[in-house]
Amino acid sequence: MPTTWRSRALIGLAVAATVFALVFVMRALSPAQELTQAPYTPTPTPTVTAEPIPQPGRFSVRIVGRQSQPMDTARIYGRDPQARPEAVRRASNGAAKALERYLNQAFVQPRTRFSDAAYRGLLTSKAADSLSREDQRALGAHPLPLAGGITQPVQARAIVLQDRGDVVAVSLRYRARMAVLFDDGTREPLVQRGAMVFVRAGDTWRADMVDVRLRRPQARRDAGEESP
Amino acid sequence: MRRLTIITAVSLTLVLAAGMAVATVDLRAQARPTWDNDRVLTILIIGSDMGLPRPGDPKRGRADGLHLLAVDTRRHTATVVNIPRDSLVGVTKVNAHLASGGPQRMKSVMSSFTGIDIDYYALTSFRGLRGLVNGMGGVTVELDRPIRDAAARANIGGGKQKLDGKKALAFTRARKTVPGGDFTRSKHHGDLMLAAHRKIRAQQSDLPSMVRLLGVFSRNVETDIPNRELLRLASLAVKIHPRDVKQISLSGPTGFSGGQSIVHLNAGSAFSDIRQRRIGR
Repeated sequence: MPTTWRSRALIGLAVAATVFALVFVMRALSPAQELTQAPYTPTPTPTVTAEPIPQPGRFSVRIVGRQSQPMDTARIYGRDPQARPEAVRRASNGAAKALERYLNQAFVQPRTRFSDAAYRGLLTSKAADSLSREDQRALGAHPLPLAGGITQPVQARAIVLQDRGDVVAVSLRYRARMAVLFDDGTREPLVQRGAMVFVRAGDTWRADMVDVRLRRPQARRDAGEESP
Repeated sequence: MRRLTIITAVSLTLVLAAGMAVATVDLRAQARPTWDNDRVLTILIIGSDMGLPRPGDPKRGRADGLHLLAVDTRRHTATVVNIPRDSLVGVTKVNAHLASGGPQRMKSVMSSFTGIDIDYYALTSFRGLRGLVNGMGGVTVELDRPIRDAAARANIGGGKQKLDGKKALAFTRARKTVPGGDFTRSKHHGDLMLAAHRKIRAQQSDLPSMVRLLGVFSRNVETDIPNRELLRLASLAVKIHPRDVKQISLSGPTGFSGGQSIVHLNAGSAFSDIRQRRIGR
């Protein structure tokens, strides 16, 4: 039999009645103090049992591959270039430490994250001076109102350019990943990957060339942040 | 009704996809500093005839390949001037200055001859050239005709050819069977350098590859360019588009002096253009 407007109205009425009935029964079964309108007495706010949002742990950079590129010209004289594995190991570890420090300053440490401080501590002055605004953003200098995060270990591959005992440059290719957690419970990925060329600057290593890509959540306008 | 449902579903999917697309943002940072100052950088490129298969110190051989590279560090343009090895410079052929005084003397002789203050030299040998090209994974050149030259062990077809180190060496040595003889050979050296530049430019978009290539270059080329400057130079090479590189092959009337064939070089405006900073195309 085809459904008419009258039968539709009846079905609607029945559904509404059922919903009202369910609400009434639930209220009747709920705790008494809610029904008896007891005089107000301040009670401690019931604690929310939601899990705390984890703060991002530190990035740790591990070298998973090292390649030496000797620069001495022995080969044109028919000799093999000298290998200095210890210098290669030390230099690549030094560059990895510099990268680790930068990643933590740029994305983890509350005082410095998403500010200019991280890339300024990473780059040589010449490299820092050559950055555009977008370059700076890709290096992390752009606010992101995160509530927490989960970092993953970073693996890097190194190529070390050495002239006999002197290490001239170290390139590191890496990918750093962090799950960014927001107050509303959403989770977004933040991934920085690419390569940097580090040179010695006094006692430390600084990146003289960078080519990195950053994929990150968009800054939210409602959190008072500017949109990129 | 069904069509409306489909349209609504597709629109919703698009709206959701757009929402997801703006939820994340992709950014890129590139920093490759080159030279602070605005200048013309000049490098004398020397191909020594010593080394495999000829034993001896490449720095004391004869400069059978000689080229002046000038780079405008601000405009990112370059000029390569190919200089015939038989060019009369002073009282002797230019290639003999390497044997008599090494690359530094060659640099000072050419600085006086051209009136250009040459910054650096870069010297390679037969063995070095082979290592360089093999380390780059070969280079591609365009030949207008095949080269068959037994003396240079060259057997290369015409048209676009990918050369490994061995073939590249043969290509740069062949002169007896190629029209134009040593003038053409000198141009072939320039062609090979431009082909190498194209290859480097394509590979150097990746920083670790650039560092690896710098190692290959350094092992096969003797140079007085400081290591840190080499990094800057590699960055600069990437920024120079091949269309902004001008190649000039010098020539001139030939003659004899002391029983040797010589070239009375007609440099035209090649060197004065560099002095006046007219670099590149």
